[in-house]
Amino acid sequence: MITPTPSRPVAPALLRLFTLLFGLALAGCTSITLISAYDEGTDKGITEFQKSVETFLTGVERTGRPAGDLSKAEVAFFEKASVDLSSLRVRAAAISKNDITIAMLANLTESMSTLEELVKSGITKEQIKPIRDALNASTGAILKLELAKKRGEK
Amino acid sequence: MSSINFGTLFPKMLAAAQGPLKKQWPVVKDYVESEFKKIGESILFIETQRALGKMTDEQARLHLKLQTLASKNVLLAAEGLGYLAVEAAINAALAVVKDAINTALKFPLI
Repeated sequence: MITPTPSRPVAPALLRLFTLLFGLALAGCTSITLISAYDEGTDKGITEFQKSVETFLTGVERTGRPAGDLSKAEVAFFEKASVDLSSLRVRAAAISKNDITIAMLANLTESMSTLEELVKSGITKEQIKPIRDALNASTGAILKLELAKKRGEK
Repeated sequence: MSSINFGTLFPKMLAAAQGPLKKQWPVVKDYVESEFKKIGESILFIETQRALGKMTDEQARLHLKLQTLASKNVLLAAEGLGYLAVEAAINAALAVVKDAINTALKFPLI
């Protein structure tokens, strides 16, 4: 009598994964998206925003900024920054699966409010660097993700 | 003199980030490390300025708030990059399954 050799069982997790993929494929689902598509408007908008912030910080860095109320030029800068960010947030909210970018833009908006308080409290020349680095990290993060959403597109 | 040591601060920041980003860590490690290094150095600078009396406690608080918000955006970007990596892996697997089905059936069902 021949004793059949028990076949090696397929790992349950692997089987579940294959079943899921097989089902998705049969349902006509040949690709999925977990996050929004690339948006040129967000890309260009954040790039321009970073430039305007850098122009402002470079101006402050020349002589530092003593504590005191905002000048007319400073009020104009923060008002424009607020409008630009609001426009980017509205645009981001109109795109589906874009929650992460929306959250990052909210953090950047809060960063600009914080910068406004810092300007009023006074900034020395050497204290500009951590401000610049933080804002570049914030805007850079938004841009990095947006460019990655191109997914290899040319 | 600052009471914070960068040698102990930086590894702790990375370890804290690595926890929630465990699955995506290989994809995002270099980016997070690079950004957190700069943020860590900024935090040290702020603390030094405060200790030297060149920054008030309120100014230091505002500066640190900027660094915290920057850290949040770096981690959010890392999360997003992780999603893109998972998406690419799933779509590659779907493409393989699709080819296997169509080859087995000898016509493009999918």
